[in-house]
Amino acid sequence: MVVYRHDRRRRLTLVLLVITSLALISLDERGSGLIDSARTAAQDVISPLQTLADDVINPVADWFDGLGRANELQDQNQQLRRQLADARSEIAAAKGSAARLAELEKILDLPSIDDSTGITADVVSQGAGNFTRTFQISKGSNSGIVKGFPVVVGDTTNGAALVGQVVSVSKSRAVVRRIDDRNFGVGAHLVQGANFGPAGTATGQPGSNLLRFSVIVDSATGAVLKRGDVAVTLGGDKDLFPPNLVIGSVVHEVGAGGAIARDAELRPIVDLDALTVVKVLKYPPIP
Amino acid sequence: MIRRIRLGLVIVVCVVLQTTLFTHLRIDGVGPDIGLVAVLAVAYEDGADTGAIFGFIMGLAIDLFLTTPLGLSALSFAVTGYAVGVFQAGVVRTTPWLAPLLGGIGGFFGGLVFLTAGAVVGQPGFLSFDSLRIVLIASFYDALIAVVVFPIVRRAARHDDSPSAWRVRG
Repeated sequence: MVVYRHDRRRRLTLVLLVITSLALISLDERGSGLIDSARTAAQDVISPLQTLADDVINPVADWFDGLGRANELQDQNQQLRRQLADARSEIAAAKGSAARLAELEKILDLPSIDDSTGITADVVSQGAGNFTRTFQISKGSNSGIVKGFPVVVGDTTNGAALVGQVVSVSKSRAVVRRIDDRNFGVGAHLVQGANFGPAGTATGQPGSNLLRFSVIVDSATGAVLKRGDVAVTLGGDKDLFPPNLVIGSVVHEVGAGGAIARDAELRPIVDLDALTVVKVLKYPPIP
Repeated sequence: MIRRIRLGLVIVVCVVLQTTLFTHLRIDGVGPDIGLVAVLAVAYEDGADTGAIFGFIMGLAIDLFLTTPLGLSALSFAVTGYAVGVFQAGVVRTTPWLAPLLGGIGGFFGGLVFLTAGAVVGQPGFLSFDSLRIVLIASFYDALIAVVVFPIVRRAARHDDSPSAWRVRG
């Protein structure tokens, strides 16, 4: 009898815990301010300990990383030199289009990267989860970072590459969702020569570092997605990202179930595993 | 009371290690679940009730640092803690292989619960071969770290009146 009662109490405890967990999941999925505050508070409490641990761990990890990648870095260096030469010629061609685009943006009064100021931050560590792709940066709300801000690398005057979006912020740190995370998505269009090609969405995929570009605009039924086409953010008046941030380049087309292949896979322009310094854009610009 | 403080410290240390050290020490891009391994140790030491409650609190603490929905790790850790606690009641003898064995099997079971619950609440791509690959690697890693984590956490979980519990000398 006693054993039976004990078993029942044990099961009741588990059932209560499961119900509480499901309630929390449901609350978080709906976007609760209370849970956001709890996350921020927890990160504020733990971040001094994380900083302390990172100060000890990071130099050792970097040293081992450098040791293991010495040969790979040498090959990469040669490859990058070749790519640099190619890129220089592409830049020359792109300059003309950029000038035309700037003129059009001025006429249409679209918000651009220039309207937002950047906050430079160090990448402290990659994310802790196995099923999400995130990284942590060394600045938070004390530096003016707000949830939702886009994160880029590169020079915002000559062109920047989108690497992620801020998803949670504590006083001294922020967590950034990478563009190859399965929950990431952004409006994009391809740049084909001097013109804009088909528009669609670029989304992260589970189990792959490549993004999927899906054409969604009706007018582009016969769109041709060519290897090497560069995808840039669509932007717009009410968009979360400014226009013309480089996302990635088309690696290959993939079937989308129809007669005409309208999807493609994009390789991010930057190596998202090797980020060291990023820029958080204050976008949309806060009035 | 002191036991609760010890277990609280275990949670803090696990969160710090999970978000710092194990973001660097990854096997094929996959890290272990040190929090889950600690839950397995507590459940083995003190049974299903404590295993489930400790698992829930540990999972919740880890969830605060992940971008998956809050409560997902809490759910999977609580269920795994409970299951190991029930299993522990039937174990007659402890062997040296118990820690890695329980770490591996418990890690795999916890990972599957996490994936299933995640898929049910609508997380994209959770029911895929890649997710299964991640769970397999993570459980192998859990088995490795269990060798170190188990003795420490089991000792921290011992009741204050137990002969082998840690004491402050007066």
